[in-house]
Amino acid sequence: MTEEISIIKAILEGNVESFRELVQRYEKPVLRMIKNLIDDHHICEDIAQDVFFTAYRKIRSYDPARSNFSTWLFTIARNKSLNALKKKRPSSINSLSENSDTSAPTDTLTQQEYFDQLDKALQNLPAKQKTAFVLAKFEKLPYEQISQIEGVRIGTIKSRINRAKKKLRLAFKSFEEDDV
Amino acid sequence: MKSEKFYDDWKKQRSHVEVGDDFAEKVMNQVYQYEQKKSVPLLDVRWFFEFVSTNSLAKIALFVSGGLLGLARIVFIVCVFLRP
Repeated sequence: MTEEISIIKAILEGNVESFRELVQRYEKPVLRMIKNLIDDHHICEDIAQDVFFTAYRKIRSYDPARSNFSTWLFTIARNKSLNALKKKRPSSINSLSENSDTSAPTDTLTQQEYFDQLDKALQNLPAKQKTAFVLAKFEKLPYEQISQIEGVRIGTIKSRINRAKKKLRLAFKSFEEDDV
Repeated sequence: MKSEKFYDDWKKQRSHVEVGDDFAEKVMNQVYQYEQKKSVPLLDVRWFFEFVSTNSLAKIALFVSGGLLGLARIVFIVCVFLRP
């Protein structure tokens, strides 16, 4: 944390090259988050680059007293991803389609088919639930940090994650039944 | 349970991400280009000529100010000669 603040200070003093250190430190988590929110590999890297470029341009507005640098960066990544999602599929972003078939014949599912079903279920989650789930389960961020990124209370984050889990559970319910 | 294992494997698979070797380089190129644009001096002669040649309003402004300057010089000279 203090190391990051000193890097940011160096950038603000004109040492542009210091920014590379922040990019290298966060390129993986930011790209992973975007890839999990937007299932389009072609645009993920462009969005991730835009996230870092925006972070550089706005670095003066980052206030260490208000949040960690990672929280601030993830907030930019979240906003860019949601904007990209809105452009990509404006009608299906809000809810899990009632017609989406998350179950499949149990006995024919291979592991890859099962993964595909979960992928589909994840992509069909409402944006807010998906963001909370991705940040908690793939980025392993604490609830407090997620609530800062999303700008809501911790309780809301917990309930969004639970609702996301329930919907994802539908996708592998058939497997559980198969095992019993 | 098989489903639990599959679910964990799925999470592991989605947690795995490959970042291109040149990712940071691409970002830094954007940053350096931005810094270069920012550092263009205000009184750049090349920029001025480009601006005037592409902007018709700037052309008119330049002609008008040139004309006014010329007129002011003529008036000044006439005043000098007519001074008692």
